[in-house]
Amino acid sequence: MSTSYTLENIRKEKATMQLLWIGMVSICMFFAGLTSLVFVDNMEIPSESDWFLYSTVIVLFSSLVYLIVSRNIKRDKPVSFLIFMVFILGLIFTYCQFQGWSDMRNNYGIIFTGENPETGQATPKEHSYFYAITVAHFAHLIFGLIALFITFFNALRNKYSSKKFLGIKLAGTYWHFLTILWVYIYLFINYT
Amino acid sequence: MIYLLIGGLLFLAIVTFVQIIRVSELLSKIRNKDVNEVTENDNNIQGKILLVVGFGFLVFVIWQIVAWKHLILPPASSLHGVEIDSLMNTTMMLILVVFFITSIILFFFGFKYRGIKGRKAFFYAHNNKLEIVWTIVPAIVLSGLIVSGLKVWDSTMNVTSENSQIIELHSRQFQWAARYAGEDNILGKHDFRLIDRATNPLSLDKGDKYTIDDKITNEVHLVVGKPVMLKFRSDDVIHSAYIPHFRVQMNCVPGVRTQFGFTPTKTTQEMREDPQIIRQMQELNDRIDAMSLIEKTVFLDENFAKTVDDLPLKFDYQLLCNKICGSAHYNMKMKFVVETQEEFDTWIAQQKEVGGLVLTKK
Amino acid sequence: MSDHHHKETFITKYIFSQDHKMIAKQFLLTGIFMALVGMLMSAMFRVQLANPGETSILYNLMPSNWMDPDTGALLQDKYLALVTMHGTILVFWVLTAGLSGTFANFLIPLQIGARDMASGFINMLSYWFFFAATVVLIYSIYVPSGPASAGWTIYPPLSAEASYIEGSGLGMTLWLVSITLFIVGSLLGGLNYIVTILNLRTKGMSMKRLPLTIWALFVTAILGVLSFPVLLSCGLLLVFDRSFGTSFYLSDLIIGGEAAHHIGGSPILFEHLFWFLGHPEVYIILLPALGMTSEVISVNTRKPIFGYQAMVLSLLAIGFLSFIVWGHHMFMTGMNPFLGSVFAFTTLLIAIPSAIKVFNYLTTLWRGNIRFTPAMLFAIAMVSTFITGGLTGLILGNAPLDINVHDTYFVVGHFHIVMGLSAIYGMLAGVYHWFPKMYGRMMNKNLGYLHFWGTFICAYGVFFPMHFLGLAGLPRRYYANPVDMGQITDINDIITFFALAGAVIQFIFVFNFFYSIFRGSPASKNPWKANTLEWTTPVERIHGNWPGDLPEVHRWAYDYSKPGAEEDYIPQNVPLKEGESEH
Repeated sequence: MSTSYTLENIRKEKATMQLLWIGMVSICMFFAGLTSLVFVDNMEIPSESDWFLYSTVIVLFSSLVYLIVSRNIKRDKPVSFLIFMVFILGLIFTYCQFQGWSDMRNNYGIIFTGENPETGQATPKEHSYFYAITVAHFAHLIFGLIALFITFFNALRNKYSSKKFLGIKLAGTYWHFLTILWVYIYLFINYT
Repeated sequence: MIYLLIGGLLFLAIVTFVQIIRVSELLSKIRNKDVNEVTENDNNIQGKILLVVGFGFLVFVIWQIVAWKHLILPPASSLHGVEIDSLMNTTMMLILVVFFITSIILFFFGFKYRGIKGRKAFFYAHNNKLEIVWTIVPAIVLSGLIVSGLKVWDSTMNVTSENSQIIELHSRQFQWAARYAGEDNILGKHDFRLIDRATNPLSLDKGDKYTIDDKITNEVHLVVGKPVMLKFRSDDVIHSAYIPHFRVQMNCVPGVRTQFGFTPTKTTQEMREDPQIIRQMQELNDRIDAMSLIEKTVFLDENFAKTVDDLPLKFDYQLLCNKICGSAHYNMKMKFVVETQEEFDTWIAQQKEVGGLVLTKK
Repeated sequence: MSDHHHKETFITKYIFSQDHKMIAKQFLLTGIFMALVGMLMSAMFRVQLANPGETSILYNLMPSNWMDPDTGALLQDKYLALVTMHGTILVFWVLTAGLSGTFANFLIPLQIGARDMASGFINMLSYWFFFAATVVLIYSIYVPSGPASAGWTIYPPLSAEASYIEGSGLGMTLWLVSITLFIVGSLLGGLNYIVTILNLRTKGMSMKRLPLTIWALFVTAILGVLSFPVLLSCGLLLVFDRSFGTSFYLSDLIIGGEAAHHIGGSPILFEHLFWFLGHPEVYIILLPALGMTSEVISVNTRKPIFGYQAMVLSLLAIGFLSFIVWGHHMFMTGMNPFLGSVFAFTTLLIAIPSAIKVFNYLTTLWRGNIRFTPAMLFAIAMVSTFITGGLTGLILGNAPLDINVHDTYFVVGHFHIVMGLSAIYGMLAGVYHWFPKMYGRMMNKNLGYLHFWGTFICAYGVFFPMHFLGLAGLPRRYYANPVDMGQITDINDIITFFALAGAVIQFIFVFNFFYSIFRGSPASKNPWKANTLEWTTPVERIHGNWPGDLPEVHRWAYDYSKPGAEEDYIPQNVPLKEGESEH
């Protein structure tokens, strides 16, 4: 293997990371488009359920764990269990989200669409909006979970080393991005 | 006829290019040369064609201006419209001057510098002075346009409804209705949930005391020289109220209130005596005259809801819908009449009050 | 190098190819097909406008329920369907995907000296998403209730409720599905273009030496990546409103005589979100054409493009400004007049970089030695339409003047000339110029000339008179003329005549294109004597572009007729001579 080939490889790795970064910029624009609505219209988004606080804590914790993953792989320490842990935390986050949505629906009467059975009033768009933005985040999270699972699977098969861990970097960057995105959305729905 | 034309064109085109290809291929074989190489001769011919067609286009533009000048809208019939027109004329003159100068340079350079074998082009990569000049000059001209534009925009859009007659324009697929605010000049409330196509098509709140003296009409009469404030409402999709002769346009958006205030300055009668309008109507009436009786009847009925007895047609202000709103979008219009105070008073007195229609006045 | 020589089957070579050159051709062929579909639609509604209420053989191309059973005339709402599909196809399919999809894919790796895109796989996905979008869109034309008919801008509530117009039922749903696939495809493509340009430039190819084509495609890709996701969020909320009964854009509606439950939404929100994409989209269409025109003009005048730096800066300026001008599409929506002033101000600013570009083009022509290839003629025509159409923008961008011409034929004339024609001319210039590189054969020159002059004359014949219709107060998207303007019929007849003639002439191009793929005379390696790197590759198509090492770049792309050089061009991979200054 010649040096130029490795060089080309390094450049390709850099390019792949950049692909992800620009993709994330794109996703940011998608959410910017959604959030701009609130500022144009001065909406007040509901955020009653406590479950979303729990999910925020869990997703932050999962990101911390992933930081350890990144540190370990650079020193060739085992990572597969930690990645699995992040994946499980991701599933718990998912559980919290679903609990939160059903909590909002059942206990606070905040529904996505349809008529309020008591008042007969149509759902205000603030309520629909709450579901739109949280579910949109969840849709992006599914890809994060898939990425984590593939990374975990590859880590089990010892595919990564301190010299070659692009997969771990990619999955991690995206996962941290999802965390930041969720924290943003959480603050956003709470403070508007 | 048009199909014959299309067919002929198609046939000619196919014959032409098959022949051209054949001939050029044969020629290239004879000369043992690549047929598709651009030669000096090509440069010469194409450069000349560019000059001729380019200038032909400029002549075509001038011809259009001369031939169709009378078809464009006559000078505005409203106060703010006069300002818009004057800015429009300035901008248009500027645009035409720049258009002719740059186009002439473009076509002329193309012709003048058509390639000659052995000549070397002038290596001229940049000249900062020149580039700064043509950054700054457009910037200055544009600032002039922007400043005067914003002035006109400001005075046009920031009109208060004090002293104005208030009229609501209600739009739905595919018709307009007008509601005069009545003697109190205050429109009664409305709520779309009160809709009843048969008895309350404008979903008015009949309990509101301001509603009682409102008057619903299917054409709008305005008093010349008296400011009017149009308030727009839509029942279904976005419509746009466009009254070109007044230079008035505003969207009617369901759920959003929009308005436009202006002052008409020419009565319908005065417009009918305007030479440009007379010429436009003359051409329209000539066109109708050329039709057979059946064609005339259908044409008048479909487009004007009129009969042959109403000929020749006379000018009227029209409100057009200018935002795509469905199948009959093109036919959604309403008549506007501008008249003197006396004429208006007579007309408005004949219109029934909402209260009189449905409720009894206290 | 090993992975550049693996065996290709028919499927990996022509269908699921990951080679950027093949993907570019796939985009081009799909683009040409869609351009013909869009053009035939315009021919149909032009025939309707010239002979309102009469039948035409052209209508038989459409499902039979588009015509009145008695008279055979085009139905009113199907006229709107034609207008809508024409707009959608031309704006997105032809001038976005067909133009930048083709040339970004083809030119980026070749001109920056890369073996392929950063990710061939994502690149392939990008095309197949686009292809799926195409299939869905074409299918939507044939559903019984007709395709989307609310205008290509799909403003709700018209696009939200099938009882307002028939096409807003299944047709609109398919439109939204199709556009979502399209956006995903565009984003995948755009990511790849940006990353490739940033990372895979060959040695010596600094950003300051990039050909202007690549600069233009780079800015275009950035605009796409930033603005398309916003359209996606805009469309998503529309889907919720349409299918799930939410009220983001809807309020105070009466449907079928009954009050609907929607309350609190605003269609204006939709317009803001839509035009936040919609305006950058205009430059996504225009910038690649400007870039390719720069390249073609420089090669064929045998002169460096004048003011390279100013050209790059003006591209960046136009790209930046395009994000803060969207409100000029909404002057008449009743938005705050102050906001209107701001948007009028930013809009007119765009005229400055545009003026710089025009003057630089003119100076490039000055004292050149012009070789009139068909590509060069199209490039000159592009400058001409950019001037003609750009200038009327000064009227439309100035808020008070917009009041009277907003949504009239004046706008139609303006944007068809400045955006439609300019971009199409840029695209055709690109096809004629790079055809030898794409297919290894030359396109027939004389047919090219015939096609050009026919197109140039007819296109101005179609779109210039439209300004007069607009100034006469004729609104756009009208099935027939409002009768007070009956005398305008003459202008309409002229436009329709030129439109049909122009449409027929395009078949010369189609014939030439396919004839030349198979029968054209073989092209040499560098038929135009151009400097950029793509002309250093062999004539035969190979995966990996260059057989040996990648070329090294020593100079900018515009060393034409440089004093002291023997030839009138010096390719970018030729080292500087001793004592030779770079520019």
